[in-house]
Amino acid sequence: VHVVRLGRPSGGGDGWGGDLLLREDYPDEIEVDATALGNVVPIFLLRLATFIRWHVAQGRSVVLKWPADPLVGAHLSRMRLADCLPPESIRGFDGEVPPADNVVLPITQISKPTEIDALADPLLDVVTGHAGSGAALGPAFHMAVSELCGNAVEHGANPTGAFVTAQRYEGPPRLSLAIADLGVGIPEHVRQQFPEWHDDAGAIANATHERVSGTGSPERGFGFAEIFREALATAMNAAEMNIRSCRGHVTIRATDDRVVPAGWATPYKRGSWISYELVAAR
Amino acid sequence: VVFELSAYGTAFSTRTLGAKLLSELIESAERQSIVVVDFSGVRMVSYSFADEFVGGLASLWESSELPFAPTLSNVSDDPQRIIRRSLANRSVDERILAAPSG
Repeated sequence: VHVVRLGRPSGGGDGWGGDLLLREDYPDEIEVDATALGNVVPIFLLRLATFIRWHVAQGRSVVLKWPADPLVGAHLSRMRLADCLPPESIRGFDGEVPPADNVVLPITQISKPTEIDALADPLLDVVTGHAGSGAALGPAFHMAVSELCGNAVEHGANPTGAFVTAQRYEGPPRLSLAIADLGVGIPEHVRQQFPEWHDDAGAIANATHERVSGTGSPERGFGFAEIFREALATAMNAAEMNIRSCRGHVTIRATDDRVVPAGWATPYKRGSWISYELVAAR
Repeated sequence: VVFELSAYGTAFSTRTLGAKLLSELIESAERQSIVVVDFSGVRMVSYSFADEFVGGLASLWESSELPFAPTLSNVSDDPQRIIRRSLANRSVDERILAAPSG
């Protein structure tokens, strides 16, 4: 049995703690011991869900030991992590799902455009129906979910599909969105049209510019730019996106009408992993 | 003929849906001279949907590939802002956003 132990800080920070590796050479049985797990950010939730689903799809048996901290367990329950496994494969989970609280979108698997369109109306209801200035983030949030999920399903197509989740924070109002797919990755996708872009971080940064697309269509390649344009359409909103794909990591900050990307090399990651924070004007 | 977009939802996301609705619109407009696309009740469109549906429609009209004149009505501020950007990126005239002359 291969045991993955998740410590208290594994799911916090940038969400990249914990050895949740997608390795072909793992034994047939995997145990994910999350009993000590502390607070988790959305992109970590997707890493955990993807780790479980991917290994199960490879034919492995995965057992999840539920967090001992009741607040952490309640959050994972609200985010529907338990749906990733049959009930008999989860230890220490009472099956209760507390009220949605700050959940905007629990962990959701998508593999077809129709599934993205089906999310549009209910998600906009959740975001705009919430009291406070966070409701003003509705248009920018809709744009981000639509464009990022569309990219994941179309350009990141793979047998496991894509995963998306979102949650809301208060003071100042903030929406946190995470999207992951195990497709070819953004650098490989854009290299279909720009094979000279060898550096993965550079290829990702370039992919966020207007009219850059792996499809070769002159009408494509506006999604990322439109996400930031919409984020800044309401004065003083701010946004930050982290894109990790293959051996590249790019951070894009949009504030005060400026969109500033920065990129660097990281250890290889299969597929594309995007976290997006949208903060309302104070 | 009036094509009521709200019959399909109030928020629209994907290019796939944009392409599907554009096909349905063209089909429903057979032997019509004017088609009004009514955006009443539509809260949000993504750039991809707007570009595929409205941008695609406007491009076909500009290249004289439509047997009818399309126009949009009751487009609220949020969708209109995004539609204008799609038309600008395609270098297509914004006349589709103008009220029909009758």
